[in-house]
Amino acid sequence: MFRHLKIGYKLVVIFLLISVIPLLAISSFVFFYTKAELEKKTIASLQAVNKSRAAHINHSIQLRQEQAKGMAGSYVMRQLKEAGLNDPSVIIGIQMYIDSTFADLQSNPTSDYLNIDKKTDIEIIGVWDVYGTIVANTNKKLIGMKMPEALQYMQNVSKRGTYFAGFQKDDLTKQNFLISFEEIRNWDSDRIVGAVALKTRARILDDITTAREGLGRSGETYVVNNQYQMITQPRFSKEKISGKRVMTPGTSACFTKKKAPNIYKNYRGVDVLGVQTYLPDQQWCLIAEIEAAEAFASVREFRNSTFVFGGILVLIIIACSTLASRIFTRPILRLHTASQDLAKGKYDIAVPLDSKDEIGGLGKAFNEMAQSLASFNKELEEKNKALFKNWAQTTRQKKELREVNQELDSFVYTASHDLRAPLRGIASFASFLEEDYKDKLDQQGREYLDEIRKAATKMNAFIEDLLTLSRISRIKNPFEDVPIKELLDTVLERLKFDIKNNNVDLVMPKDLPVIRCDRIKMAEVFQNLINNAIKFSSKNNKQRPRVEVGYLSVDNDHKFSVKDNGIGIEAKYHEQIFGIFKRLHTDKEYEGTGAGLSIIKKVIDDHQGRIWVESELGKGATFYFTIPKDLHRPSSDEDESSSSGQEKTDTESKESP
Amino acid sequence: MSGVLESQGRKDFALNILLVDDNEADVKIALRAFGQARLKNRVFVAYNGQECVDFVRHQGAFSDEASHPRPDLILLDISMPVMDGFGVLKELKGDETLRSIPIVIMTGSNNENDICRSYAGGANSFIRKPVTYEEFVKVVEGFNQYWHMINTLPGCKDRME
Repeated sequence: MFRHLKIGYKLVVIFLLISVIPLLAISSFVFFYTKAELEKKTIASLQAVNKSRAAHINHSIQLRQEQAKGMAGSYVMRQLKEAGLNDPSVIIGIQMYIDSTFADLQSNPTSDYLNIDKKTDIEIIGVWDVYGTIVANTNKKLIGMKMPEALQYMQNVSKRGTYFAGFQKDDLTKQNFLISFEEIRNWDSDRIVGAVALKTRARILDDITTAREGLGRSGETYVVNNQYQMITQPRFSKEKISGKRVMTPGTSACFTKKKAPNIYKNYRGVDVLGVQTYLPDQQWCLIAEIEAAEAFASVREFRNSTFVFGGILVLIIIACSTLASRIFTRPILRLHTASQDLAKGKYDIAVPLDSKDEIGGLGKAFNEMAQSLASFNKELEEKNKALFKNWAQTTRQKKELREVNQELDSFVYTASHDLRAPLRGIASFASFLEEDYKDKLDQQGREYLDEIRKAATKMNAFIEDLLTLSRISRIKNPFEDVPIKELLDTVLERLKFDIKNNNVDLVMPKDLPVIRCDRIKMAEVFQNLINNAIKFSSKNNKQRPRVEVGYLSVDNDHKFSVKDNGIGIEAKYHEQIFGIFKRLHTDKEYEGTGAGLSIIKKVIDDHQGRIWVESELGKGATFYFTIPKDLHRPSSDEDESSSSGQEKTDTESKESP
Repeated sequence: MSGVLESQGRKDFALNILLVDDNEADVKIALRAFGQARLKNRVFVAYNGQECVDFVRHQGAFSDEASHPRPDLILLDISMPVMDGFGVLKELKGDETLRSIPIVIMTGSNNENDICRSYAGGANSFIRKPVTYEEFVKVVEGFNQYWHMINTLPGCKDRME
C-alpha cells in the first residue's frame, strides 16, 4: 500500500508517525501514571477522613455512655431496689431526677456535651427494673409497661456492664435513635437492680456522615451495621434510606476483613473510589467514597486536553509536512514531468533550477541530458531524412524500373498476340495456295510456299516462347514446400519418351530436399535443363548419353546441378546463353528457339537464386543453380498485374448445357 | 454482311453454327476448315458482336427468321469492333430465352484474364486459334467431333421461342 503512495503523501505519513507516536507514548504514560498517583492520593485522603470520623463517632458514643453512667451512678438512682421491694418515694425521687435532668437538657441544651446547633438530641430518659418493667420515664405514658426488648437490653447490661444499644428505627418519625444503657447497682447491696437508658436521636451520626469536609463534590461517608443496613443518611439520597441493605464490594470486604478494591460500584451503581473502616465496638463499618469521575477529573481533563492538543498537532504536522513535501517534491515532480515529456520526444525542455542542493544538481544533470538528447535526436533526424530521401529515391527508381519492366512485358505480350493473327493468315493462305493451285505451281513455287509455311511455323515458335517468358514474369504462383524427389519423378515421367529413345544413362541423387518454391515453375526449370542435357548429350556419338542430377546443401542455399556429357560450351558464351533467343547452333544441329535458358534464368531470379554453367568445349556441361533456404516472396516485387494471373481459372466445364 | 455456307451433308442433321469474327482472313480460314471437316454444318457469319446479337434476336438485317435460324452453337471471337465477345456473352447469357445456346470462345489470345472472364461470363468452352492451317483443321475436327458426336445439345429452341 505504502509503496503506491505519492512521494508527498509518503512524507506526510512519515512526519505523522515520527511526531504522533512519541506524543501518544508520553501522554499515555503521563495519563496512567497520574491516574495511579491520583488514586493513591485520593484513597489516602479518604482514609484520613474516615479515620477522623470513626474517632468522632467513637468519641460521641463514649460521651453519651458517660452521661448514662453518670445518671446511673447518682445517689437517687442507686436507691432503687429489686423489683417489688421499692418504696414509692424512691420511684418518685427517680422520676423527679430524670425529669429535672431532661428538662435541664431541653431548656439548656449547651449543658449537653453533644448538642448540635444548640439543640439536644435527647429524646427520652427511662429506668427499668431487672424484669424489664419501666419504673420511671420522662414519657409518663410508658411507666409500668413491660418492654420485651428491655429484657434483652437488661441481659446485655448484666453481661457486659457498659453497653451501647445501637440502632433503632422509629416507624413514626422515621428517625434513627441511639439508646445508651447503663446498669444501676443498689447503693447498699451493690447488686444490679435495673438500668437507665438514654434514647437520643441519631443526628450525631447523620451529621458526621453528611459533613463535606475533605470529600469534595461527590464524596460521602456512611455507616453500615453488621446486617449490611445503612444506618446513616447518605448525602445523595433525598429519601430516608436508613436501614436499606447495602451489598457492595466495599461493605462485604469491610465485614469479612478483606481488602476491598480501590474502585468499585457503590450502592447507587456509580463507580467510586472507596475506603472502609471497621468499628469493632459497634460492629459497624464506616465507608468513605468519592466518585471516580471526580477523583480522576483532572487526569481526564489532561487526557481531553491531550487529545485536543494532539489533534491540533496532527493538523499542524500535516500542514507543515505537506508544505515540506511540496518544497522537496516539486522539483522532483518537475523532473518527473520533464522526463515524461522527454520520453514523448519533447527535447526542448529545461527544468527550472531554483535550488543548489542535490535535487538542483539532478535537475542540472537532467537538463544537460535533455540537451544532448535533443542534439543527438536532431542529428538522428537529419540522418534519417537523408536516408529517407535516399530510400525514396531508390524506391522511386525501383518503381520506375518495375513500371518499365511491366510495360515491356505487356508490350511483348500484346505484340506477340497481335503478331499471331497475320501469321495465321500467312501460314493458312500459303497452305490454301499449295492445296488449291497444286497443279498450276511448279516445283520451285511449291518449295517457296513450303518455305513460307516453315518460316511462319518458326515465327510462331518464337512468339510462343515470348509469351511463355512474359507469362513467367507476370504470373507468380504462391511458394509452397515442394519435395524435389516427387517433382523430379513427375518431370522424368514427362521426359520418359526422350530418355528411352536416346538410351540416356540417368543418374539421380539419393537425398533430395523439400524446398520452398513455385512448384510449377521449378518443374519447368528441371524439365528444361534435363531436356537440354538429353538433347546435347545424345548428339555425342562417341559415348552413351549421360545425364546426372546433383544436389548439395551449401550454407543457406540449396545447390542443384544438371550435368551432361554433350558437346560443351565455350567459356565466352557462358554468360550469353542465358539471354533470350541466344543460340549457338543452327536448327539443323539442335532444335529450339533458345528461349529455354532465359526462361529458366527468369524463374531462378524470381526465387532469388543464381544460375551458371561450368563447361569446356567438347567436355560436356554442368548447369548449377541455387535456391535460398529461407525463401520468402518480397512484397515489393509483387505488382498488380501479376496478382490477376494467380486467380484460379474456373475449370468447371460449361460445354455441356 | 452475312454469308451462308452450306457444308456438305444432309440438311436435316446439320447444326446451325454462328461464327462471329471481325477478321475476314480468319473467317475464310475457319469456313474452309469447316468445309474440310466434312460434317453436316450450316455456318453463318457475323462480323461483330452487335451483328451476332441481332442475328440471334432476328433484328435489323437479320429479321428474316427463315434465312437466319436460331444457331445451335456460337463460335465467338473476343476482340471485335462495335461489341466485343464479352458484350455478346453479357447480352445472350443475360437473356433467359437465349441462355441455353452454347457459346464457344475461339480467339487468338490465351491470356489468363480473357479465359477467366469468358468462363465467368458464361462461355461453355474456350479454344485458342492455332497459327497454321493444318492445326486449325485439327481443332475444327476436334470441335465437330465433340459438339456433334459426344455432346448433346439443348434442342429447346421451339419451346423457348
